[in-house]
Amino acid sequence: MKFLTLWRGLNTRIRVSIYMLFFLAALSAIAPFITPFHSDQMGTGQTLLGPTWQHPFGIDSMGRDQFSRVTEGIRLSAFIGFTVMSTSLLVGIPVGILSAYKGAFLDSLFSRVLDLLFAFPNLLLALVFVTILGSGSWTALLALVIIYIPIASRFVRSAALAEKDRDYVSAAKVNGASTFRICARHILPNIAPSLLVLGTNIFAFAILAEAALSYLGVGAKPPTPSLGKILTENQGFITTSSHLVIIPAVTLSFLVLSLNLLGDGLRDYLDPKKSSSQHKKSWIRLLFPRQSAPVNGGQLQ
Amino acid sequence: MDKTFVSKAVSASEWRSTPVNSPSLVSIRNLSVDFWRVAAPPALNNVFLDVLPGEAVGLVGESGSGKSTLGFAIAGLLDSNDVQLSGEILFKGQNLLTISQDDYRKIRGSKIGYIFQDASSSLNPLLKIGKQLTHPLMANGGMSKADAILRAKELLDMVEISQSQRRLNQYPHEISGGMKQRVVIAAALSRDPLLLIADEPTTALDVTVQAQIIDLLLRLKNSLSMSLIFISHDLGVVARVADRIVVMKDGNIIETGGVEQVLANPRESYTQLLLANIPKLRHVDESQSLRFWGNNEP
Amino acid sequence: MKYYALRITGGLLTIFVSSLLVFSLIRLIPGDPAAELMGLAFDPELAHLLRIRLGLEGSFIQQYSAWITAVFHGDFGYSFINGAPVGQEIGDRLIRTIQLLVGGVFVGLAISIPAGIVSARNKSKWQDGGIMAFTTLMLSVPQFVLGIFLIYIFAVRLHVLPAGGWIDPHDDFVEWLKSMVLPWLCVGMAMSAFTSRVLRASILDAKNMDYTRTARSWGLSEKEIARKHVYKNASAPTLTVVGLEIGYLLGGAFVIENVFAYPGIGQLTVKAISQRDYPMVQTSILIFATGFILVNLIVDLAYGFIDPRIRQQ
Repeated sequence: MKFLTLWRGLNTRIRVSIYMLFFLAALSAIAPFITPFHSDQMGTGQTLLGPTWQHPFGIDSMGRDQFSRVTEGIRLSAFIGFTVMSTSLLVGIPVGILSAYKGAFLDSLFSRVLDLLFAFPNLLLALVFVTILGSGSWTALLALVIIYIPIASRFVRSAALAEKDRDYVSAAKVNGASTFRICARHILPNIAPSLLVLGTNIFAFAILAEAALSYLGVGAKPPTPSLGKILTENQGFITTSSHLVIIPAVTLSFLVLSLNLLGDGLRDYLDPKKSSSQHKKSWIRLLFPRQSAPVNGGQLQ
Repeated sequence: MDKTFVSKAVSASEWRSTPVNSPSLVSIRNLSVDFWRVAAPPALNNVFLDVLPGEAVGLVGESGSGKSTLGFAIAGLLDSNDVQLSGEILFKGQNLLTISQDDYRKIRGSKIGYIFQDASSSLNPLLKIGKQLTHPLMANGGMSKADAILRAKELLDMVEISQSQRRLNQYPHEISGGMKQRVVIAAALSRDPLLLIADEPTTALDVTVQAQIIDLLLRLKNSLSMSLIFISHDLGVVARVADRIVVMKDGNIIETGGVEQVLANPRESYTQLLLANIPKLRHVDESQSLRFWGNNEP
Repeated sequence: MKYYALRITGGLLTIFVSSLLVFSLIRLIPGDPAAELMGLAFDPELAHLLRIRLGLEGSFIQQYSAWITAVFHGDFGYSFINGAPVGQEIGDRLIRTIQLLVGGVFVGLAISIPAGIVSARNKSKWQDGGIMAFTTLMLSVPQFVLGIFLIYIFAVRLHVLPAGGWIDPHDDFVEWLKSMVLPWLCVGMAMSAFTSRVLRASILDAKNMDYTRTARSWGLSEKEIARKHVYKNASAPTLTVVGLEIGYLLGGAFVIENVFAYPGIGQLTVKAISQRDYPMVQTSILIFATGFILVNLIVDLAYGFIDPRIRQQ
């Protein structure tokens, strides 16, 4: 019962995005049971085939069934996104809050290091790491984790900084609360909403980054069906079999779109400030404007 | 709302202490301001108010009493997307609620001046003070740049800011809070308005600066023969400035009268409550102090 | 003035440290490049000579200073793959990549500035909703997917624009222009998604600020208020974001050049990475980092120009 009332209270964006994510999750979960083909199984039928009942997404140039590949690609992207998001938050939250709260030397050292890291654009850093570690899904994942931990901690740090000087923190300090207690029981719950939104953003960015790396050929190694990799493989056939390109592209965008919508919706939902002009003009007021109140002896001239 | 309560406060015989036939500068009749959301209580509920030329009216009440809303309403600063206004606001005989937005805008700034509560955020931090003062003067085919700069210097002198040339070239963050408030006052007065509405102009300042600003406002009111509506929650400050006090609560005017009269004999219990809460110096017990100085006699 | 001097020295310092970082990161790669290059014909003496030639002998500081002095003389080392001097290959490509990015940024601004202004002015009306929905979509579509879509629509279906490649503008200006349209559009659209949102948010914020209310009380018209107060104040946070965007775009150059087979530095770097051509990788990463730092420096300086409070620090 409580869940239902919560659900109704959520705004449209959140609901739509959850439907979208649910659809993708269901699709990729059920897929292995529907299709008889493996994602790397070659020669399943005539190559470069269009969508049929047996092969809903077609067949690529190497005879692989696209449906199984794309759905496995969804699983792969979701896994990478989830891992990067959870690791960067798990490390970034304590580091960020502590650094902001403790301040002084630790904090300035931390910010200096972060500033240096941010002197490089993300993808560039990822490429550098992949160069050192060698290409492959796992190294790409590791590179992304290394890149997003500082990003997450920087965000958490600035959110925590805004809370650090608030009265409730001072009150807790005066009451003798330990550093850990203040950070965990006071600061963290107050920045939790923006952290939730950050989580969805990192999830989406990680998926995009991994897709970009695989597209460039430095991410997933064949035959792993990362969505970016599928796009690289099929790009050459765009003129003849465009469905081979369009379907993975749309799937990837759909996934990221639902995450972005979820993040947007959560942000709006959790934001306590709402401008009054958001309320629609009450038609009652428009139809029944205020009547001048008759005032006794109120003829004042 | 309690209708009898309202009518008791506004019955004509108690309305003002001046003759009925002197024309008011501002005459507010039956003004109501409602939020568009049906469930919200009205911001202003059937308000009647008159302001004579050259008069200083103190508008007193706690937060949420509607005093700021009344000020905004007179100056036309309320957003019609948020609220619905009904009633009349007569300014020199003209009903401001019926004129066009353009005409209202022309009256604002030239005939009605407004001072907001927080001076430090009232000024644009990215523009020089001189620019902010001269721009309204030059806009819409107003003065030339040279004339505007002269006028700006004149205004800074009027609000007792020295080194006016230097100040004109400074940015808001380079001057003190009290000075910022003076600049805001100068800007509001730049086109010789007939009415100045000051919304809690001293609240954000410390006490010594408060006194200076209040004195400045009084001097300006007299020298420029302006009407002044002074909005504040602080009865003590209002007592110094106003000729007449109007007490507001929950969107209604509940008491009004000459300043000495209201302070000496407040009729409403609410007004008495406000008076009782003014911080006063405690009466020093002289016998105690003598003992303290070593005198052993009780 | 102090602000500018501080920022510039900071920028130079960051470039120096990044060069150090890049240099050391490459040296961290396991394995001996000389041995890899020689393969079966491995000879220890020749390998030693080769390592000297590649700048891999000596202590770290020796290697680094040798490299840095060479860089200042314009000598960026020699490619592992074909032995050609790195500087030469990079030179032309750098110009082409800059053309791509600069043109793309212009397109992006041309899209995002009107979009941001229109959607802020018509808040909650259909223009706003439409533009916001479009930007949400744009943010979700990866850049390379956008590029593929553009190619599909304009090259495959409509046959009006080429699917990629590059033609020397001196040979055929019109064809060059045609080959640049889609890449520029791709860069611009990707950038405008975020930028128009931020511009819209900054304009709305500025509209709600106290100083706007004060300007209104002075009797200024909405147009005057917009000109003097709203837009100027909104441009400051937007500028910061544009700087970040350009950083993101620099990363996107890799991807876009791959999609459109555009012969720029991005394409070169990716190839060099997969081929493990370390001098090439080192130099191009250094160039990218320097470019990014320079852009951010310019943005910081411009920000100081707009907001006088920053200058005081």
